[in-house]
Amino acid sequence: MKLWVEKYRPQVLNDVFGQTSIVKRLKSFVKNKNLPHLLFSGPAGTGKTTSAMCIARELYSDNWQMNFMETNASDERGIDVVRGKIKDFARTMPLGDVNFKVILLDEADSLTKDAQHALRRTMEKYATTCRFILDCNYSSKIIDPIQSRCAVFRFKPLTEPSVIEYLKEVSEKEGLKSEGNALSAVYQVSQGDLRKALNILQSCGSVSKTINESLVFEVASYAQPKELEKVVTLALKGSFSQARSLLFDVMLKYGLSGIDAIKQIQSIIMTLKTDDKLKVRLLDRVGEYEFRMVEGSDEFLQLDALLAQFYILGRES
Amino acid sequence: MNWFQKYSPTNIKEVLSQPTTSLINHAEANPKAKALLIHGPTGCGKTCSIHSLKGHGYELVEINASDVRNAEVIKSVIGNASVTMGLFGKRVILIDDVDAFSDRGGITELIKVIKSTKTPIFLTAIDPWSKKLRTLRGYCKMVEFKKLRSSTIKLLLRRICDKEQVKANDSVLYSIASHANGDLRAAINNLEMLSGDGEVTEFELEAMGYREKPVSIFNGLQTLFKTTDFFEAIHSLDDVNLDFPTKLLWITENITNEFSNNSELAKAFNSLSRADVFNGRIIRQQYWRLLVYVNSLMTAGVNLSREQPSGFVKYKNPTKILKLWRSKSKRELKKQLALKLKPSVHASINKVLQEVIPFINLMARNKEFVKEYELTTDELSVLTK
Repeated sequence: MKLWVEKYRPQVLNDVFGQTSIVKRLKSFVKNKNLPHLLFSGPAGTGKTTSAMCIARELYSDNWQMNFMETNASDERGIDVVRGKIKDFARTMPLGDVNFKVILLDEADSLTKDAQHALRRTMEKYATTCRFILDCNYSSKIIDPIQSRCAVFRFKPLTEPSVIEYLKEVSEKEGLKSEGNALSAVYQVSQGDLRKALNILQSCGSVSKTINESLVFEVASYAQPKELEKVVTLALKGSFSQARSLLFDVMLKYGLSGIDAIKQIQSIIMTLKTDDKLKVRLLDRVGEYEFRMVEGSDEFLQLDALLAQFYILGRES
Repeated sequence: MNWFQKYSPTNIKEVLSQPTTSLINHAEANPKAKALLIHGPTGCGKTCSIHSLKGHGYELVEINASDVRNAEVIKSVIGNASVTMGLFGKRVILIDDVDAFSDRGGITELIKVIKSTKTPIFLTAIDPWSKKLRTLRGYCKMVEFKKLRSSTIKLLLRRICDKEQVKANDSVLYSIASHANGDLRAAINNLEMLSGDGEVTEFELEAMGYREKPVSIFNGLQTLFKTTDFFEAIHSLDDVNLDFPTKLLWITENITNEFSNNSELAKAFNSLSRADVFNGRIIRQQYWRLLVYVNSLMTAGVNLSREQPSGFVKYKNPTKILKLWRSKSKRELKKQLALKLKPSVHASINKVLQEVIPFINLMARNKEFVKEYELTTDELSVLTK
């Protein structure tokens, strides 16, 4: 049994879900066997990577793997990737009847500015033999010269009805029964991120063939440790030592990095049932310590120090 | 007579850990071709082993660094002695510290004497490789005396203590020995100086500023947290033999026992956090001057966060490192797993770690899933909580 995100990944543009107008434009590119450089921006799990792969499959059919390269800027974000791997692929001639190759650069917003400038030159220089598809969450993190060379497509998060429709199809194929608002609950925890929705559905399916709302919420909590909420509450109450040792244990247990932990603490504070003015003061401090974490050398120390500030902030109100 | 002279060896066999047989061989050698150049650090027994030959019936003719050593003196004192017979037949000549010769004429004359001598000639030098000895070395056999080990020195100090009825425990004697750094003369002189009352204790050693005892982290922390003196706080960890990150770890581990009140904790941690920021900048930019600020913030900064005095606190070892080390292999396994799934998810390793890995242990309840991705038992064990 495969990961459902792999098993149900659309192979042709027609099957890309919930992005009708974008798909229509992309199909006309494929039909004319011509493609501008593309910039796909939008939140996770909306079909950016999938669309890029579909374009390649449809353009080159059997030769697609030889004319298509996928690389993830988050794993290889240095300028060397742009100068080496990407350039090497870009400058060789394509195979078959399409006269260009396609490079998919996933999570392009994690490329450094230097790497982006190097990329811009490569895009110009090899434009005849190679087209780029850049994926990113925020197009604002891509430098203007690159944006101006690309046709920009903004992928929207999927709506609740379309997510539920999709999940129903998958459930049927997998022989899963859903009771009550179970699928709606999957939407609630995944917020239009189809990858997350599928992962949660599959996890639920591994536990039971009949899924209900409470199972969904339980499974979803695996991705966000409940204990961190307790850490925040303890720290606000002034039980610093307990908060600190719990945080440390949680981080080890889930293999969280300092940045992971501080991000989650920040999102917990957002939803805290407390005075809004206190929330802002807390967030200000969390931001300060996230900054110090980036500048400093010991993430555990910075987290401890952050927790130590919480009680005082709470008392000022 | 001081102890060093009093206890200097009267028989060459008493000279410990040095190649003394080559000295005896040279003294008995016939013909007397070449001089024997004994070299080695100060206080290892070069001169005194020649002096000890007196105990074997040799007459000793000596010129040392305190004498004028120009060509004339060499000629008149040594030249004569080298060709005539001794009063009782056996005679040796010792010229100390040849590397300290200031007069080139002296060395030239010395070489002349060596060429024609009928009496064994011994030379000593600390640095036999000095330039001015280059020619002379051609007329010498060389023998090296090694720096004495602290344990050897200690043994000799113990013998002296026994004879002088001085009380001193082994650790004190060892301290004196190791402080002397191979120089037996210095060690004996120091022992004599310290044993005025017939007893040498740790207290005397410290009073002499003699043992720079490193401060333990426990004492360092106590000063850091409790002192009311700014400079004492700043220097509280100076003599603690740990690096800065480790010191920081000790402070953060013990800080909750020292500061019970939350506002003290908040202030102290704010200081530590700033110290760590400077630490990060040092690491990235290799600008080590920032260490001043790291130190000030983590010592005085923490110390001054105090609002009310605290009682006695027992300091604990940091346990963090051990736990981190244990969890490291776990993190590595997770990453390995993420790499395996990456081609299927079409996302970065970080995304796989955050979005897929948390669910894997549920998905892995399905045996076919485990088979599909060839998940190993090791990988699965990290996932089961």
